[in-house]
Amino acid sequence: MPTPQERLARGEPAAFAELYDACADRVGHYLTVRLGSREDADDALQETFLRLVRLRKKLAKVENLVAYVFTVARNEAARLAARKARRRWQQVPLDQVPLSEMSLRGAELFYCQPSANGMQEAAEIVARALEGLNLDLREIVELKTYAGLTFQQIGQVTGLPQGTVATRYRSAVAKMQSWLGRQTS
Amino acid sequence: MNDDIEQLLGRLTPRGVRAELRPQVLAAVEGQLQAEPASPWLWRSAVAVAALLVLGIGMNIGVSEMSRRRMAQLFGPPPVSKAAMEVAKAVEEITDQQTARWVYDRLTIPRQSSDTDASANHYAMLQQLTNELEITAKGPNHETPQKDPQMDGDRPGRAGGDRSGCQRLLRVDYRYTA
Repeated sequence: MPTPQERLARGEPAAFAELYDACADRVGHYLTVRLGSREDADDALQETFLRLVRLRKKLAKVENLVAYVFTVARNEAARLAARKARRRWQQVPLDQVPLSEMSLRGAELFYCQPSANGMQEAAEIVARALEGLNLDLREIVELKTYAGLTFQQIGQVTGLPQGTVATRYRSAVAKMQSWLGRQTS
Repeated sequence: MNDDIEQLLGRLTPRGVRAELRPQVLAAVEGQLQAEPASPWLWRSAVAVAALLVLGIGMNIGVSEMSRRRMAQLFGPPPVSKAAMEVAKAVEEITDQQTARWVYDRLTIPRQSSDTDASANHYAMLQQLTNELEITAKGPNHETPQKDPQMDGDRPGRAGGDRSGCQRLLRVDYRYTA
């Protein structure tokens, strides 16, 4: 029985549909965080899958498919951001967004049922805590928590050693915890 | 303490992508799959043929150059043709150095050995041309009674120094406009 990688390498449309269903939500969230815009994230997600189609011959030899998809998505996000910078249509970086807007933008990233008490508040707290991190640390937290990648896979995506990824993750969590403590005291 | 924030992070579910994006992306994927270029073997064959062609031309040039150098090493520089030099001198006396050089170059173009008859005819023709040039350069009094009706039959001779007749005979004349 052929592996998903082999089916993708053969160019089976159904295999690409299965891959989309398996990781589009996670990749979409990651791209939204990186690009700061849902529209840009949608464009980058489509470009990611088109690039996977063009690179499909290589997919047969890929060991970790999900990490590879995130790597391609990360590169596409960088390309899109560079194109936008060239067009002088730059978006305001996340760390320069005023606090009032940050929580609103951050909370929009998460799904909250209106009936769930306290979840909206939790989402806003987490969003603020995440946006207090610099982009490198935040990327690692997002990939670990919401993309469900292991430290090894995050290392493949970001090009960092596994140990560095783990250290940065712990550092990010400690910073967020510290921020949370200041807010509650 | 760290568990608190991690638990808090874990309680939240990221928003997924828009549902309408799925058919859009999958349609683009199918379009990309169908718009595949021609067989890679065809492309590789075309590149190989082009490379071989360039290689062949390069080798041909290289072999020609090597052969020329080897011949020059074996036999030295090409010999000066005495007959050609004489004709060129005669042409220079009645025209100029540039025209004589042109005539000499034409005479010393390498010819194949089987082309001896053609070469002899060529020399004879040039000898005749030189004679005609001498006559033309000497002026109207030296015109022969049998004029060529197709070439300046009714024109008077030219003064000394006017080389247009010579140039026309050698087919190096200029046609002035206006």
